Amino acid sequence: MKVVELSRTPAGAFAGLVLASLGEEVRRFDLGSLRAGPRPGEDARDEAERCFLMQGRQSESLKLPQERARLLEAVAVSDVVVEDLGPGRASNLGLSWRAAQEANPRIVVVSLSPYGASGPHRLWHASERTMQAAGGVMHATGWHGEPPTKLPGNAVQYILGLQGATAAEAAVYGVQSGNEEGVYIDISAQESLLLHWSRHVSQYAHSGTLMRRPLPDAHGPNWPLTNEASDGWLYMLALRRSWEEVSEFLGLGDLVNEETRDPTRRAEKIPQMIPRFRDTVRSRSKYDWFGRAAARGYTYAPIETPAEVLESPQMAARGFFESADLDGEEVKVPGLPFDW
Amino acid sequence: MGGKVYKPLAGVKVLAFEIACALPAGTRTLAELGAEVVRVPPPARDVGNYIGVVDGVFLSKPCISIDLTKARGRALARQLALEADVVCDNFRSSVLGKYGLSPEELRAEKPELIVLKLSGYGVPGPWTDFAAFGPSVEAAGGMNRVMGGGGRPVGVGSGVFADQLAGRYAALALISALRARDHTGQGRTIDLSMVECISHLLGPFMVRASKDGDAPWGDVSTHVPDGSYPCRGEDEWIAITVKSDAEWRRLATFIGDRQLMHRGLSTRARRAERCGEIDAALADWTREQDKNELADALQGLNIAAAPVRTVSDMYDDPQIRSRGAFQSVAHRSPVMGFESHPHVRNPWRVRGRERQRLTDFRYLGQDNEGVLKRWLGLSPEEIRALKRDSVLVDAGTLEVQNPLPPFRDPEHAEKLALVSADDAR
Repeated sequence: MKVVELSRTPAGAFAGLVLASLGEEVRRFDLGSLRAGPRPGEDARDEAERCFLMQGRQSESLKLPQERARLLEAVAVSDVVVEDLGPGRASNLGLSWRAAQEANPRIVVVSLSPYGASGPHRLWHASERTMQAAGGVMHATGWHGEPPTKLPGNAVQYILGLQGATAAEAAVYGVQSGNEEGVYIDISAQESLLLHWSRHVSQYAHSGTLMRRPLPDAHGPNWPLTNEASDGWLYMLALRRSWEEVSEFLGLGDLVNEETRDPTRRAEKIPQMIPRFRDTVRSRSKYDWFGRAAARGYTYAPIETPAEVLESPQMAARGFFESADLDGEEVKVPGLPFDW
Repeated sequence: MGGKVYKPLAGVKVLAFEIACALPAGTRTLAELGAEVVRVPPPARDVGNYIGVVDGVFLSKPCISIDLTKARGRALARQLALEADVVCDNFRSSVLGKYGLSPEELRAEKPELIVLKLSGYGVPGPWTDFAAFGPSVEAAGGMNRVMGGGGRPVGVGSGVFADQLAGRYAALALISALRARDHTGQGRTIDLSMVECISHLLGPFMVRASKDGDAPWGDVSTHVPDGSYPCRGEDEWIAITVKSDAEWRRLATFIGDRQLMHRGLSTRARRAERCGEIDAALADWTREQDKNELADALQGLNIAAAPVRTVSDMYDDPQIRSRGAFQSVAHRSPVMGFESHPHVRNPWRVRGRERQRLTDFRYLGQDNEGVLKRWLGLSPEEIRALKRDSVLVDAGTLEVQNPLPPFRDPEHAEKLALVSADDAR
């Protein structure tokens, strides 16, 4: 599959990265600084982000609209264009949907933008944070009494890029299989992120439940969810397991009695029991707890730092990380999360 | 309404042995693109699955149920698998192999078959058989740590963030494999790891850690100010990002705060030194304002601002409503008192095409007859015999239990009606 990538933000660049990682032939055009109009999203944050996003393909500079003919020549011999220039911008620069179709009737154009190409907010100015605010998830993330926490880095723009890469693959499959013709696909970051909040918004619709950010000391159905082990933090929800069973597992079986078996009375006693629970968790390493819990089928997990993820024996066994060059230094970069 | 429906995957048959949320989220995307996705849940775990129904990930898929512990059940499942273009599963790693449905066995008979396995940690590896769900892979993939602050990790307030993300990658992998198959004639065996989906999304954090080791807690923005600020109402917020010095001047002028305008904050570097002070001043200013009106006003100044949407006001968002992000799905019988519920649709809008309508979830075994007739050409007598011998399981109903939510909105029924009215237009 031949791809023309016109990206100014991490969204289009992530789409290009994913398609290149799949082995598609991606031709990235660097448009430099475009005069009119704001950047519809963010810039890559630093060299590390550029190192990650720009893998697998070369960039060539293109001045638009002066070099429009060169762009249309590329469109004529490609299967798909992925662009994130902002609503109407590609058209203003000489690549309208009609022009693309005239150059190549089978072409697929995937347009990525913060709010989409239609609707009252289509031209809203956006940042990673404001896109996350508009798309959901953020309001329920963080702690009660503190401002909502955003997802890390340029997460929503990557999610948008992932949608764009999938849309490109599906649309080209549709054309090549004869199911469809060339199409123009418009995808917004807001709706892409909304899908990742589907449970909460749908649960609200079903039952009126308002999901809130939890109190820092809130505990799940067993014990508090995040706790410090001897060497770092541990996520400790044993899905579908009772408090009594988990307490026995932790070596706190003596706390299980008639009074604490009753959830209401237990809730009153929990604050008194927490210090001993925390001491118990701190008595072992997070990997020790993780292995022991896994043997019981519990869904515990070590809360890993990026450096710990790089050393993960699981990811090493799967060959997840690859090498790249950053300022003359070899660094590790994640590959696709599936073997390909 | 009434235009051509976008179905690039028309004619593709998918047999999905699926549970929970991640793989079902991915296969629902395939169904929305025109593939026929047949869901095969584990028989004992489907009835009363509140979350599965509420999530909407089971929508638009026929559902069959086969007892794989019986030899005839295994043979039937194998016949269906060999009829499919794609077989995928997110059961425990050993389950399908135990029943003669491993990728190796299936692809030995049909090399063009595409087989995908989705699991928490992926195969192979020392954690392959460890139980996982969304929040645990978010933790193990590095997300909670990089979102944390003050020496404490933070979880994603979604419940299905990692599941939906893995579902997105699964859809990508399967569609790409279908396209590759049409060129090479060869199928593919794909193993997808949920925890790697999280770490892939954190790519730059991994590169930085590889170069310089772990950064201090927190995710530092390159903009100042860039934050969420309180607004009028209970737990209402606005997100504001100032990306340039010119935007800062416009904001300070708009606020009319002489100190903010003249305290030597005109450059990003100077503001970065005093971001705590700026955030406090902004919070004082936003606190009594309506988040929607303020976002409109700041957008008028060409400043990135947006109301922080809650689960209850997402349905009122003018942009979301204008783009038809939700579709009201009618139930055959009322679920939790409502005859229909809104569900989030595939976010792609294709010019000149309608999106495929979502259809109601199907209970365990509800489509046994239809699928076995369509895919394998079985006669009604043959299907009756399979039912009589309990090779096919038919739950007959789907009960949804209410998990007694902690906070309830008394106006939610009214808002639900609003969404349905939009959808009916």
